[in-house]
Amino acid sequence: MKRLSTVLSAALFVLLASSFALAQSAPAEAPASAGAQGGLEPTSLLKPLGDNGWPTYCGDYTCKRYSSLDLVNQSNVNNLSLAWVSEGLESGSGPTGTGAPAGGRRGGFGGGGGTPTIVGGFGTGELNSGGPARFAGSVLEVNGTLYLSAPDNAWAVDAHDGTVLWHFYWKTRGGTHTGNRGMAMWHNNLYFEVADDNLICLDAATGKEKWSVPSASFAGQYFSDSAPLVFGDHLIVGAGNDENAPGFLQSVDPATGKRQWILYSTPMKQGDPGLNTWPSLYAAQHGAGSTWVAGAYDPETHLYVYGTGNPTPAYTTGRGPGTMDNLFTDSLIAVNVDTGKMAWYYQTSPHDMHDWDSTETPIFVDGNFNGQPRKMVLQALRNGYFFVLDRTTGKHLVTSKFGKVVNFANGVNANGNPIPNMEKAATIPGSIVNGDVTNYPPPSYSPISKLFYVEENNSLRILYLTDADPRGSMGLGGTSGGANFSFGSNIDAIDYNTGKVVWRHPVERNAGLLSTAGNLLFGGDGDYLVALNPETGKTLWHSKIGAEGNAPETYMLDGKQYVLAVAGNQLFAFVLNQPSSVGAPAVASNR
Amino acid sequence: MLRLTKWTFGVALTVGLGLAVQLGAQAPGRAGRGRGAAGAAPARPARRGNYEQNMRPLAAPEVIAHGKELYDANCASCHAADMLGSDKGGNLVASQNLLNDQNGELIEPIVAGSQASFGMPAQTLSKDDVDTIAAYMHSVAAQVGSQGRPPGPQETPGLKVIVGDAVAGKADFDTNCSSCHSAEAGGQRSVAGIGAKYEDGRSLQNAWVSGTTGFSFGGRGGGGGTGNPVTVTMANGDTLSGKLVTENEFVVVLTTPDDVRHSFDRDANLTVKVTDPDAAHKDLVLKLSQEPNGDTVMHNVTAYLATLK
Repeated sequence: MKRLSTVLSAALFVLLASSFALAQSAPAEAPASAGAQGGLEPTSLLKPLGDNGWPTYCGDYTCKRYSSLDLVNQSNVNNLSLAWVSEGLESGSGPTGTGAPAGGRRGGFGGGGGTPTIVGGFGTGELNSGGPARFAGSVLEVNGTLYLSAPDNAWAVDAHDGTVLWHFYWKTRGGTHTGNRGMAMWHNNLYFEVADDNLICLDAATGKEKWSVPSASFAGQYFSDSAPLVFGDHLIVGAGNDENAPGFLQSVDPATGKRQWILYSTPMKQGDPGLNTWPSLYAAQHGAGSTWVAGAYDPETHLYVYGTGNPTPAYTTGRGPGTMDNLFTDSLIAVNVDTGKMAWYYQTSPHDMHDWDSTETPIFVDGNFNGQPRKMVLQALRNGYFFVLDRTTGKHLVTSKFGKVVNFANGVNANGNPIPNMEKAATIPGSIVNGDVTNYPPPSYSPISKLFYVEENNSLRILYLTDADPRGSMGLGGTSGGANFSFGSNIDAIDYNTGKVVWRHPVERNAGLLSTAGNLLFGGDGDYLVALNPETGKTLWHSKIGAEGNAPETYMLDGKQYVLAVAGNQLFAFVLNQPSSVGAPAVASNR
Repeated sequence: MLRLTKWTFGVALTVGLGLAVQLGAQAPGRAGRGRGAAGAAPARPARRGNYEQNMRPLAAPEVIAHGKELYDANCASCHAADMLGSDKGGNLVASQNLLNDQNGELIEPIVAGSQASFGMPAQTLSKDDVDTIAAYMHSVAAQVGSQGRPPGPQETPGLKVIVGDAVAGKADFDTNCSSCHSAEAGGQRSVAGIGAKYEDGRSLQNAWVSGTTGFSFGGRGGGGGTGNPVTVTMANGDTLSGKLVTENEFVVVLTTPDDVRHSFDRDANLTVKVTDPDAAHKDLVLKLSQEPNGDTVMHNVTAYLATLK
């Protein structure tokens, strides 16, 4: 059985990892082997999302964001009430992380008296902006503790009551500080990336830094913010870059941070596959394809499937005619995590002229397709198209347009790839073209409804070319937009068999979705956290908590099912306000 | 603090040198580059990013000036005067070798021929000259903007935005716009004089396409609906009209002309009617976006409106 081999290789990896950790004379004060024992066993990550917490970016390897928890369900969701709100999630600034936050909102880091702040980093703290933390990633829940990150900062929080347990603060050297997407855990080690291109390993119990290694070249203008992922003895790390630099994905040893392999998103030398889709080797080597959103993993085939970002220059000429696809930007890539070799690819936006940045989270679904059982991968993209592929072979199954006003392409070709309409690229007199339909906010899939859920933003604007240099511009330069019209945002439910949108639920905006065995779909509608009926899209429950930063999550603790959402710089945890039915002992407090 | 002092010094240097490079060298001759008349590009900030290349201390001005002379004489024929490359040589500003270089150490081997197989022939330049050229190149790379935008002005001067056929545009205007807008002075929602109101074609086009925002008829911004006229009808038939503050599935909030704020829980007995003054513009944009010649129609109308001085 393939399953068995997975378990075997996982067992083998524990042995290897221990010996590796022993072999190197670790600089940490703790015994070198401590990181490879106890804590979160990598084998536990093979479990589907449910009563095992929220141990990875997506909760489990399939990225369905579907939890088997059903204590909260359609019959009682109207009793869902606030259990606690966190306080004190302030980003650090200054040399000690306790300097006055930017804007002078409040003095110092208010972690609630005695919360330790652990300081790392190679900067001085002057470039850290401080202030209320900006959350735009996943929260881990492991054994009653939540772990979450913001740019340059990470926290452990008590999952029972929201108390901040420790705060890690990284003095940055600079760089692009977009949202941090979250952390990974391996035994007692926590990992997260910081914008100035370091991968940091923390002791989960104390927040103390065990080590840091460069995750990319800071001088090369990379920025790192993706959520690392653990697959057995591999820690997968991505990076971003808006300047004309090659995107890449790498695997490192979770014990040491030592690189195991690197896979570039574009051809880097003569003879590399895909080179004939670029006007020159030079253009390919500077063609981008960032890797900043976590993908899904199939433990049977050891294939990790992830999306790559836009090519550069993003909006202008410089990448050959529209018939040159610019591989492997804007592609779904399957890489074998043991070898770093690409198993297959499928390009979701050939010759992208709109920064479609096709990194959105793919979802693995095992189900029937045209009456035959299939192992599939589903992905809805910023360019407004939805795709279904066979995830073992990369064979194309379905392409559909879920964005209502999408017009950048002249339909799709026989292989389902959108055909770019070069007249809808940025032009000097302006072209009317659709804007981003979705982005990093995580989608969800429910095996009960057999529907795929994703945010849908509809907009049109005039896209102008402002840099007419025949060599093209650089990075995201050379364009400007005007007359932007919104045609509304929705949460969509998509049938993967047809690619058709089954229902649309209008929202102001959405930051990601969660479905549960309680037959509920949680997500955001502007400042509201809402629970919808996954079959119909009808609202069943709502609470105004502020604009959410990422998808809601759920976990089980002491007999209670928590629904967790982050809004602003606060965590909001909801539980049923009636005693649950699982025979929990008498509840001592009513939190 | 030491770091602060260094940093401040670095900024001062960058500003000074940036200007020197720009003025002295006429913004290294990027063909067709320069600030446009459209007033789109903001003044160049002193520091365009906080990456290493933006913040590292630069060489003395005379070193950079000498480096530029050497670059122009030895490198510009292939890599272009502005370092952004040509058919014969790559863009050096985006070169990972340059970005990761400190004082020429990564450039020296390339000049000596280490990348000859990639088409970069060996050059006869002394180590000192290469390092001096590197110092100049770093001063240019320091001007790379946010999200990798190239150094220098962000807009090509003299871009011709108005390319449409004004005669065809009048016909398109009559077809698509005349039910609401007159071209006669004093007419209904008149567009007379609109061609004189905007200094460039892009602003004119953005204004007429977007509707009220561009015409300044009303104060609403964006597409969110805030500020739009709204009427709420309550269960007993009473109505309240004003400007919309918020509308979603759960509440509706408006302000009445007396500046009083009214909030309502949404339920089946409450009817809410929001008027979008730009509805016709949205419909037109949607229609044009789906038509093969939609952009041409837009360009023609812009060309026509530009004649209405």
